[in-house]
Amino acid sequence: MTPEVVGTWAAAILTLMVFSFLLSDNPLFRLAEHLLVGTTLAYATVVAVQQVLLPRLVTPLAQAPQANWHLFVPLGLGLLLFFKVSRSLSWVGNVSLAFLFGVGAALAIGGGLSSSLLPQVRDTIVSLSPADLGPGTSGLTSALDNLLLVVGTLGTLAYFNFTARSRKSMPQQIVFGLGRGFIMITLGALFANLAISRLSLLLERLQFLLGDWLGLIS
Amino acid sequence: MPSTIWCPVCGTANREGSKFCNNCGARLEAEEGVRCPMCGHFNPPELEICSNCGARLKPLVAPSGEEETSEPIAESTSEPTGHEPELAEPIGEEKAQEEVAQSITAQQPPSEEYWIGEEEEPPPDLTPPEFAGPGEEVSPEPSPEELDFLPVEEVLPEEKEEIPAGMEEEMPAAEEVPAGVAEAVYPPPSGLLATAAAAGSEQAALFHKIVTQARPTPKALPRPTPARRTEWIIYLAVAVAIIVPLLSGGSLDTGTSISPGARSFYDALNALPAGSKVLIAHDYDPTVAAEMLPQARAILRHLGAQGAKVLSVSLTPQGPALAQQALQDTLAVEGYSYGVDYLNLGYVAGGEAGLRALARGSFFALSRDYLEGKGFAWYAISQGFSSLQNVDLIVVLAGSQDNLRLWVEQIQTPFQKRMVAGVSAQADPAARPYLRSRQIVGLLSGLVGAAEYERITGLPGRASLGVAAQSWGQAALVLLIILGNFAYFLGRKPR
Repeated sequence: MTPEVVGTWAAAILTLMVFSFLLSDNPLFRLAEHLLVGTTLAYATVVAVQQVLLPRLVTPLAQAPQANWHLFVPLGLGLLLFFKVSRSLSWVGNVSLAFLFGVGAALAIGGGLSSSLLPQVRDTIVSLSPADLGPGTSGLTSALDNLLLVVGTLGTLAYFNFTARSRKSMPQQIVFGLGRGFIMITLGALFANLAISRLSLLLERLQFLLGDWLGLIS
Repeated sequence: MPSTIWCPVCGTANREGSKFCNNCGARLEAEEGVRCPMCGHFNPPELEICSNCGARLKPLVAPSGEEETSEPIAESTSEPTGHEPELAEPIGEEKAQEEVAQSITAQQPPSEEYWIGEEEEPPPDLTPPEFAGPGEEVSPEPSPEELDFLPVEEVLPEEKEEIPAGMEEEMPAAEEVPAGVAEAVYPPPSGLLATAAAAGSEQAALFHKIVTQARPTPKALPRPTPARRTEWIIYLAVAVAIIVPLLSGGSLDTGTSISPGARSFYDALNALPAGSKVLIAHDYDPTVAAEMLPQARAILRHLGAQGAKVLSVSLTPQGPALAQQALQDTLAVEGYSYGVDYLNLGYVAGGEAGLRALARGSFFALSRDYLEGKGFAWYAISQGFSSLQNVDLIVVLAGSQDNLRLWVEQIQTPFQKRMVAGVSAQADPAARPYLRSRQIVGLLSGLVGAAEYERITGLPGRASLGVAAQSWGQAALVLLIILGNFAYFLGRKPR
């Protein structure tokens, strides 16, 4: 029996154990669930050690510590995190956390502002004239597309602005309703895409069971 | 200098007015008020209902005050009964106690606490029974004379019904004591105690009989409820809608049109000259591998046909293994050489900081490949790969929108790199704005995107077969949603 066959049978049995949750919560499902969590954590640990700690920290320091003296800084910051185990000395580990969160926040805010927010705002400043967007029907279609984009963006922003007011005028109510409608459509699209994603997962498992395991699909 | 509050648990100094410790989260405020007997929440004294769980904090019959007690006392003194020693026939206190005790030990069974005790049987309670306080509604205790007419057998069955079967597991096992030792430690009772012990033994025998009787057989499983039956109808409908197209071998294919995003994705890869350097990021895990692996296989086949040099990285720990699986299924099978034509560089740790290191080249210097663990410079493909500046195209396969956002924010816009993306269906709505703003020049979405790409390249695979089944499954879901809403509105009772 080859390792591939053993792996296929193990995967098929584990898949059926997970499917048994349809009947009810049971020990087989729990076993498969715990196996998944345990192996995932173990695998992530091995990858972190083999792909990060050893090649990027331990080996360079062991082979040429003087040439790689700067690596003592991340080593020291990493060791400080072990103080988080102690209640009275956990504040020592805050130095490393502050460094991690500071660098992460700086990169995330800078990147988000210059690469997501500003380009997306700039992309909503569009022409609504069909003549600018192309000849005939294509220009009209593009103009309608742009109109939807502008109305949706402004309505959504207005919705969050006007929710703080208790009394709204008629134009405010119209814009408020439009914004709420766009938000509902967006949430519906998100939910539908999530359902499609999960359906793909079910489909892949059924393909595996019927094809790779039982050989019913060529 | 503001005063501080010291945490009683960890000793950390907290600002005055803090409710919880900044370090360990322990509560710093003194717990005042009435403690709920159910959840332990402290409530203001004036509340009768717990503000946390709704349990009653005060009994329904409150302890009586002086005004409330005056009237019942007057009533009780006007009609003397045998329960009230001070109002009964004037007798001495000792005599009254003895008479009451004799009547109790003779007629009334001892309390449960007494005969389920662990070691020593306490003597019977010789104190006169406590009388109900005024204001409490209790049934009057029978007098010693009345107890004479109540046979013991009539009292016992009531207790028998109150003791649940199966208590023998909860009860501690009786310790066996040698007879001589037991008699030395516990001398045989006599007189009043003997009477009480006899009654206790009788009760113990009855208790033993009850707890050792056979348990009732468990009832049969309840029949499935209508809601449970509906669930199974949904499961079966979805399963049939997916399995039948799979077994049909593609004869139920509904057809896949090519989206503009998939077309521009193909055009971007097709424009690469032979020997181009392509960085492909496998940023997904097994939860979305059903969508992402077909995409990866279709793209890698195309890149292999273009003669591109492929370098693989991943922002997720599970990504390198999945990437290796896709590389083995495509480039390795078609004869491309590992280390020369393609390489799996594994995991990029650090999120934003890791991507910046990748862009500036420091990532490559210390990297080891996923498969053999050798340094990047050891492989022939490393010639000309010193930073992202040497990369002609970046392909991001993102299982979540966060991973795509990281690449766009940290790599594409700051370094103006040409980028295409394949995402799972759940990340598609967040990826569309980047396609519209041309920050990514092509987009594949979910299993449908993989099937589109297979159709464009003319290399059908499992995605093409699976997307037909997925379409039928989606149709079944939509039909079930419509039917469910229809049934809901029909079954709704008019107000």
